[in-house]
Amino acid sequence: MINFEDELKKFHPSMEIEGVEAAVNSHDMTDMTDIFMAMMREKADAAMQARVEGQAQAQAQMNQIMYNTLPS
Amino acid sequence: MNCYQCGNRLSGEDFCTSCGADVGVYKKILAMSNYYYNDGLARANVRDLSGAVLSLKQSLRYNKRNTEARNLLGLVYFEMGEAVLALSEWIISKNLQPSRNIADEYISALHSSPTKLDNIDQTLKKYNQALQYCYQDSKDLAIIQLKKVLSINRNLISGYQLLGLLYICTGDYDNAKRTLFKALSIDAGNTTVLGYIKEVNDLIREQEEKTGKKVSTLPMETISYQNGNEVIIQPVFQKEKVGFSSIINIVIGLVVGVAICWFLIMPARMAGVTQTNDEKFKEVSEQLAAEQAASQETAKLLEDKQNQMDDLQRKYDDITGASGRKTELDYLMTAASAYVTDPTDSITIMENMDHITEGYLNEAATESFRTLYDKLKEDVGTLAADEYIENAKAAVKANDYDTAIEEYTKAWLLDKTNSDVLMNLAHCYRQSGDTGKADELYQQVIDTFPDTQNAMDAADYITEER
Repeated sequence: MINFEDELKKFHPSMEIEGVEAAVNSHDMTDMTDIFMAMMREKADAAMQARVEGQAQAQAQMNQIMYNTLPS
Repeated sequence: MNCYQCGNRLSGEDFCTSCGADVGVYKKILAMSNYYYNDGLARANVRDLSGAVLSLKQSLRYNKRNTEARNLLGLVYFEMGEAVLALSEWIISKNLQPSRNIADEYISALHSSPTKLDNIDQTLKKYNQALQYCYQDSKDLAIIQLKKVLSINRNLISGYQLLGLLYICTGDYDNAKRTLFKALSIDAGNTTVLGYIKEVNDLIREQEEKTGKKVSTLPMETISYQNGNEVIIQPVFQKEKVGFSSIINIVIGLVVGVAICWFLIMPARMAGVTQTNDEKFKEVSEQLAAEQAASQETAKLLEDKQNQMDDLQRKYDDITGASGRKTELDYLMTAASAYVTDPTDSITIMENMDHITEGYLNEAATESFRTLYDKLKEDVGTLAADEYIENAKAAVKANDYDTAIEEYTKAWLLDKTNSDVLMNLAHCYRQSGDTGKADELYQQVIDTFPDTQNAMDAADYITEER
């Protein structure tokens, strides 16, 4: 059985000419490719960060080894 | 298809041959976008507009730069009466791909007819107003407003849906079905509309079961079938029964057509023909009147000429004697002839000469005519006067005073020197009872012959009378 009030909630005011500019400006343009590229960027950033951190850690280890080999 | 990182054209591999980026997932995303675009196109081709909208939106969620999908989405919106949504999609499409974009033409077409765009905008405003009426529970106003909207914007699916819903809620199932069917003819796969139709059918069935009467005159059975994961519900259109009722309808149509011709078209045509005939009649009447006037004038002229001719003929006849009437010349010639034959036949001669008047003698007679006339009168006048006197005396003896008066008068006219004649003429008048004339003549005797016996006697008669 149709409930008029409930059905009425499904109807929304139609967009008028004056609202075109606002609609275009506020249009959510984010798509899967954007998300994908963002993910790719994050992945690349994370890789870069890991590489930088790895290098620093390796340098620290090297320094430690060098320090240990020094004559007392 | 180009690499999202370096823009280089991608090959069949899952990585970019230029920068080495992993493009496997990227390719799948674009493929999904194309898949939904194709699905939307297929739905639009079978007028499943709402389904096409869903697919095309999905396609754009995967790839916002799928210009064809966005343009198609705009077209579908436009077909559904949502011109403003269509316009916004085309504008976005134009921004994403400024060159070689068909959206340009769509936008130009809309802008080239501002009246149409304004009409569409007005209908959308009215639709929103109708929606407001619904929120305020003014269903009647909403129905009226929506009818106006749909009379202008005939493809506004949301308008049909709302109007159908309003009809269902007001219990007007027939109109609800008609409205929803119209919506289905535009958007065949609109699940909301199909759901409303199913609901209307259920309500009608319930009502028919309760009342036991047929409520709706429209066929409202629906069929549903599975298409992939979707259930399609469509109304069954029954063919109208053709039979005796159709013949009756045709006959009624013919009768109505003839009646319209008879009462609406024929009077106008008859009026036109009558007016034309009146104008022709007027023209012919004017011509006829002019010809009649000319004819009358000609007849009058002819009559005048005829009269002139008759007068001239009469004069000619008088002159030539062809008319049988004697002229003065004839009388003179007759008198002369009688004189030649018998100079003593003075009476005959004078009778003819009496026809010649003084006026003719003075005005028309020629010199020779007058000479002959005077000669005859001189020769015969005395004799004739005596003859008249004798005749008068005889008449007096016979107491015929009228004849006597006549004879004495003739004698007096021939001889005005004879006072006896004038005296006797007066006596005759006196005897005939005309004393006035007699007194006049007596006085004439006294005046003309003053010193005569007759004058003295005449005075006595006058005195005696007085």
